[in-house]
Amino acid sequence: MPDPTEAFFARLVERGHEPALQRTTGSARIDIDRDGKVAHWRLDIRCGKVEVTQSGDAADCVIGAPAKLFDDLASGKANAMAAALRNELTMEGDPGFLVRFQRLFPAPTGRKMPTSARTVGKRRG
Amino acid sequence: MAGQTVRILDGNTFVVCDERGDIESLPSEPTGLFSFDTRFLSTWVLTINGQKLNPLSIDDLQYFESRFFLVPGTGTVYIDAKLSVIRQRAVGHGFHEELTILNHEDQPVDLVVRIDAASDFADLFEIKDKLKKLGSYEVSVEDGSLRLAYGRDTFRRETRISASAPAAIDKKGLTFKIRLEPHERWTTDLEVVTALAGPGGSYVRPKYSRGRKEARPNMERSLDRWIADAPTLQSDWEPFRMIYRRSLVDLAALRFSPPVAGGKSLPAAGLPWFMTMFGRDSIFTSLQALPFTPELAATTLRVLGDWQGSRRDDFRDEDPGRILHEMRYGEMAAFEERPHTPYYGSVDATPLYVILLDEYERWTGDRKLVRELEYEARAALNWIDEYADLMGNGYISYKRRNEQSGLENQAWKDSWNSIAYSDGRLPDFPRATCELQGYAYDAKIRGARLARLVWKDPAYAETLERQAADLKRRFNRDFWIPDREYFALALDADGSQVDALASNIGHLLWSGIVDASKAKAVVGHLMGPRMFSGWGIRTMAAGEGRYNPIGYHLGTVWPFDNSFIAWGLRRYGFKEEAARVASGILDAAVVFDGRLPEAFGGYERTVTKYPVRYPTACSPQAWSTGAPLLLLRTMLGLEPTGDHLVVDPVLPESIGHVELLDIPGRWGRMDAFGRGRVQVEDWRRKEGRTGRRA
Repeated sequence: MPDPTEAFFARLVERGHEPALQRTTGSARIDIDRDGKVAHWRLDIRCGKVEVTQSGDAADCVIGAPAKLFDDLASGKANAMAAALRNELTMEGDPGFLVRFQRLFPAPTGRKMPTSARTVGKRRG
Repeated sequence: MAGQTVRILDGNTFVVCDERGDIESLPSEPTGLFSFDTRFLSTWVLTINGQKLNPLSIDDLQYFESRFFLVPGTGTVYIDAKLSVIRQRAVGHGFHEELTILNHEDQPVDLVVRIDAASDFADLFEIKDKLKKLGSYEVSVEDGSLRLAYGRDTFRRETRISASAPAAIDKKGLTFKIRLEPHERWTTDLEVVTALAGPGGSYVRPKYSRGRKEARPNMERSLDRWIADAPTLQSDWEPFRMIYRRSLVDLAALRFSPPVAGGKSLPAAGLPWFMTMFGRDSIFTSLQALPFTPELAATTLRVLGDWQGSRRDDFRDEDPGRILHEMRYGEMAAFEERPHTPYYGSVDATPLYVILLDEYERWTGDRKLVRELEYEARAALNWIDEYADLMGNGYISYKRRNEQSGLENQAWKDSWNSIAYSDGRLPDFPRATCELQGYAYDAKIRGARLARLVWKDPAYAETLERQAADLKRRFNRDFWIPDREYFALALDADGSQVDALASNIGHLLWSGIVDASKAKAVVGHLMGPRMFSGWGIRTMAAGEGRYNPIGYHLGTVWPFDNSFIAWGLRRYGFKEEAARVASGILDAAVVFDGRLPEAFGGYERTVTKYPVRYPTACSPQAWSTGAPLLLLRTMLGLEPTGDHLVVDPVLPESIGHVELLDIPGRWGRMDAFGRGRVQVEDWRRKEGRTGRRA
């Protein structure tokens, strides 16, 4: 059985076109660190048409993530924007790409709503 | 912090300090240097020979810059002004401070100049809710600078402080031992740099440095350019130009570029709590500013489109197609102790998004952007029927799925007690407030226009128009309270009417959902003594169970609210009433030196001579800043029609002659002229009478 990361990119290949990336043209590389070995996934996007290769060539935007984190993102167990704010997910180049790209991650599954004593509060008034 | 606070800002970086320029933050107060929702300096205190200084005066040079004139103090009335000290500070990616000391004596002096510096790296949420931090601190002196750092797992925030003059740097600050000859001056540049990431992350240099003080709202354009590109206002009424300029400058100041938005900038909501991206506030502000700075709308549409919801996430109250409510960058958002990455708990931002897209095209003719955003606009329209109809009765309603830290009230009146029955009871959830149905109606009508004109999908246009007509028919039946002749504030969980009289009915006029036969009665309420205070229309009518003239949404006057109601009054042909509302709000703006606060008291104008500031109102606040702009558009009756701009001025007499020159749009640039003819109550005479009685 492929890991969630491979399954995620396989789904991108299968779909070929992502309406959420309609306004995106450019390249992005995702470097996934699995026990010190870095795997590259390179996306070439033309108005939402996505081509996936495993090339390490330079790209407009480079995203770095440990394998565990990316597996969690690809299976709806983690949130990409929160991970980026924690610097767990790193980013070089056009940061707008990550905002659009993270829309492709699935809805939360097998994840309880985060709770902590520090989550109580309200806004305004 | 006791006494006056001084605030300067640049995008979402801002400094709140005391009259000396010092920062001595308490854990529970939003004073200090803030950037991206994190406090980067909580201590910044200047002493000379161990003594704090006395403030003589403060110059608010520009929105991002202030200058403090100080003298050494003895703690008594007598001030020994043998030395003067000038601190000139400019905020922008951290801040730059120019410290100058002048010796007025005929004798040399030896001075120990000390800056104490520290940071607690508090998240704004932690300050608001008085919470303890969970990470650890590290302070070091490296490469001639003081480095303050905070870390929690991979999360890093850092402040780096350096000076141009030789300094002894320790872990608590910088010391300068100087000797000043008679009449000599000494000066140094202090740089405070903030970073979101630690080693390997980036430090961005402060935007401003010595001698480089031309305001730059963003990297491309100076403030002068920003103002020059906006239309020019001329008026017989002297304060109008001041108010107009203040609005343009504050709008520039409130622009910021979210770090994950590719350098584009859009308006943040307001200082000090809301210097971030809010869907609703950014959209309303962009609508207000459309005739003046249309590119603001383009950026708002693109950025909010990028962030559009794509999945069901209960923690974030996210749905596919939903437009975000609020984005936060602090530690609590990063660790999912708050849902703001981003949080989607807003039910009005999504229909408003479609409304802004259409209004933007009507002004600019920029069909390319409408084509680019087709996917997002359709997803937003789909959200209205697919995800927002929680009660299955054909109306938008809200009930948070995140019971812990989500918002209870997800429309613009978001305080806990803002939606109430006449007798003061609060309804259960879900709640379907009336203005939401108006926005949904308008979004469908406008979506249909775009579908036909740009997306070339007439079938979709017909579907939307059919849905809109059906919604209007049902709404005028289900929300109308026949014996009181106004629309209910909301429908409750049983579908019964929540019957308080509130300003929300004014937004219905703006949306066009009100049957023409009912408009006169609605306007009668809005302009009647229970709602119109003389300064503006109250959020809730006097006499309602929960009415309170200084209740956040229970009777205060909100300039933004009034600007949209005035637009609605125009839409239904009540031009003189619109001019009266505009006149009241602009009179209030004069009292606030051109900078309208978020809200002010709903007291009768004849009773309080001045509008009473709401105690904790944010200022400047984007949609209050935009209110005079929309009122100006409304009074001049500016309306794009085809490729032309129609001008139909109806102005209060007191304003006299008005010219708005070089209005940008699909017509290129056009001028509008008007002369005030509407008689407005002579408040001075009325106030005078009250005065004599008292």
